Amino acid sequence: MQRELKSLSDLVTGTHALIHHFSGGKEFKNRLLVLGFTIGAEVVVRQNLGSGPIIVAVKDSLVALGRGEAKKVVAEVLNKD
Amino acid sequence: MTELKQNSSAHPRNSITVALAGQPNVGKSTVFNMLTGLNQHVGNWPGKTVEFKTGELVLNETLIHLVDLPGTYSLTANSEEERIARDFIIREKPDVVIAIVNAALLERNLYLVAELLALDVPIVLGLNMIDVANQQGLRVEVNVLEAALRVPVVPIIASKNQGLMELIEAAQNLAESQVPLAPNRPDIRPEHRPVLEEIRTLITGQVPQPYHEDWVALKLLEGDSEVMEMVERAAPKAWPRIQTLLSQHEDAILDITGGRYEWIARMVRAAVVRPRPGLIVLTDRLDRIATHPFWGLVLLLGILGMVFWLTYHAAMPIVEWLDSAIFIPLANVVSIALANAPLWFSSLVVDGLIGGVGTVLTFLPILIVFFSALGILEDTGYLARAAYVMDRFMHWMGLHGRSFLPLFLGFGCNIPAVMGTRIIEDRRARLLTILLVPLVPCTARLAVVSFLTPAFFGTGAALVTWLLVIGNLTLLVLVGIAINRLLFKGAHTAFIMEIPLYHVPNARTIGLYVWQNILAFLKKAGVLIVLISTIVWAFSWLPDGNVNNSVLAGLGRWLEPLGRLMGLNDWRLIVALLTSFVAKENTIATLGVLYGMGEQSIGLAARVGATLTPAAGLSFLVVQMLFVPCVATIAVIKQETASWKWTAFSVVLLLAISLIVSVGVYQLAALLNWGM
Repeated sequence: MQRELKSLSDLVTGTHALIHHFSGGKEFKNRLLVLGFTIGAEVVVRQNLGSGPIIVAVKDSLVALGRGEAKKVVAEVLNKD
Repeated sequence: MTELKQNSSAHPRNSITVALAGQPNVGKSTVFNMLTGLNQHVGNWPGKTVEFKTGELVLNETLIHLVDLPGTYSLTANSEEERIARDFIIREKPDVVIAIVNAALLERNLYLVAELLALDVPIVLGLNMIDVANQQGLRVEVNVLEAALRVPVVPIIASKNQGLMELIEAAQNLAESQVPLAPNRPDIRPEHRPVLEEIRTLITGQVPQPYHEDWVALKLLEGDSEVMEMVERAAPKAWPRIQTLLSQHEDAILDITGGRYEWIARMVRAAVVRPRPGLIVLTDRLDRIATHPFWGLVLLLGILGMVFWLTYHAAMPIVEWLDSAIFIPLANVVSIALANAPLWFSSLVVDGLIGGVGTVLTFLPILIVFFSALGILEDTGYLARAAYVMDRFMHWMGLHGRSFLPLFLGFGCNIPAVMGTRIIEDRRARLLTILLVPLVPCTARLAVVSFLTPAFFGTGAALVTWLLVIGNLTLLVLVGIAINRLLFKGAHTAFIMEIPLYHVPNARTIGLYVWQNILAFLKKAGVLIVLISTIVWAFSWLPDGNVNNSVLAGLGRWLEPLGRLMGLNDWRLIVALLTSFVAKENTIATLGVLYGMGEQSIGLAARVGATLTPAAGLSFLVVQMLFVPCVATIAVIKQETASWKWTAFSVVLLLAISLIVSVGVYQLAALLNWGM
């Protein structure tokens, strides 16, 4: 099945997705990788209000990402909750 | 599990060094505080601005030096904290590293352990918060985890002082055991093995002591900037080839981190029993409010309001009691006792020294309330929610939610706030936050304001104080926007922040937090305040003992034309403001010295209030809230920015703002004929 690639900032609350790639710089990438945003890791968007930062669940933890940061993380969309 | 009891009477025969490592929010500081109590020393890492905590305890006749490493997510050179933590392990070679992990967040927390294992140091795993994990339906099989990792694993509940004895004993046993360790270590994925091997060969024999070649090779492949610089210097001949290899494998970091997490997943697969899906935990329920775009803000403002309420209703009565039951009677007794001493000496002791010491001590209840509140908010995990809720507002200034935390700290004292900006990695965002911190009214300024406002405005005092605080914060936003636009060309930095699980705050951790902050205040500010109030007394006494002819009065009178613009016709108010430059709380001490000559019966605030119209009173409060930062704050601004230029900029900026706004407020009141 062909899956859709979307930025985390474009995923509505409750969406499950797999991390596909990053479009930010090296340090940005490193910080996210360490927090568990590895390629293929499953994430759940816990709160996305359409503006401002979003909250993502990854490896049982919650991480807040600024809107600009969430834009740079591209994920493969799975089903919704 | 037994409770840890310290036995300091035993005579230690030998000593070991144990480093405490862990990611943020794993309860590491609680473990440290429980183990060392008041036997700890807080300072800075040599030449660094990161806090360095060490402590001691005696166990089974062994003296254990415990070093609390900075909390970090990994050991890559991403931040100063990470460099400090790994440098300590590599260079100081602690006998054992205790790695604290949160059982409810095992996979993420084990990432740091995976990095520690690569450093080839004996490790004991402290599996903390097993109670929290159990509440969430998570169960960790300790024996299975221990067998998989092949390192000792000790379950603990640090906040309830459970298992800590076993943990430290396990560390001691490991330090004293002769059996070589063979922990399970993460391996690199097959596709990157050849390049890692080649790099390893290229650097053989060229890595400076005490670095391990395996570790250096791995960090090179990860693209670690500090290690790359080191190898470039140490192996200039091999460097071009290494550089070529690294640029061909730039994405190796993706595989290495991915590989570490796969290894972790294998380690915990059999050891962790997961909850049934759909279980709604406490964190989810609380976050429906705490991170809600509207209710989250209401909650945050409510909490801030409650802290002020506590300051007024719990701390201020104690302050007043201290004043009326201790210092005024003491001053009376002393002036009677010194009735035969020279007048200047009696005045020095009563007005200068007792006044100054009294000022310092009467601040303690306020600071205790404040730091307790801050400690509780931090320890429960709420502060991260506050940062999240505030992120959108911080964006207007080109800052992100993380800057909110140090600014919030500014309410306690601008000094820890300026130092707290270290949590912001980006230099520009950090500098901007430092420049904005003095606009956050600190406890000292709030204490001055809450001391004077009731006398100026009676029942409207709380409202006026609230408006003054809101005014300061509005100015903070406006100044932030302006500086960001004009000086930083609207740049912006990454906001990536963990939101920890909520947990019950630990009394000892908060108690020690309050204690250390109070101690710092007494040591740094306390001495200065007593000194300055004595100097101010001297200036007000010299040359002839009549305050109206004194040196200080001369300066105040000279500045009176400026004061008149803001409604301050009394030179004593100008002098009080000038001395607040040295320490904000000096406003009260100075007013006390200047107004308190002879009579003790009428309250100081009331006496000051009686000389001012409401408009002039408001203007005085405004200028007090915005005036240049105190000397101690300026000193830390210089320390943290490492630039006299930015330090001077900060002083000039605030001087201009305070004068413009207070003159504006008074002139507007005059125009509207309000409170004249």
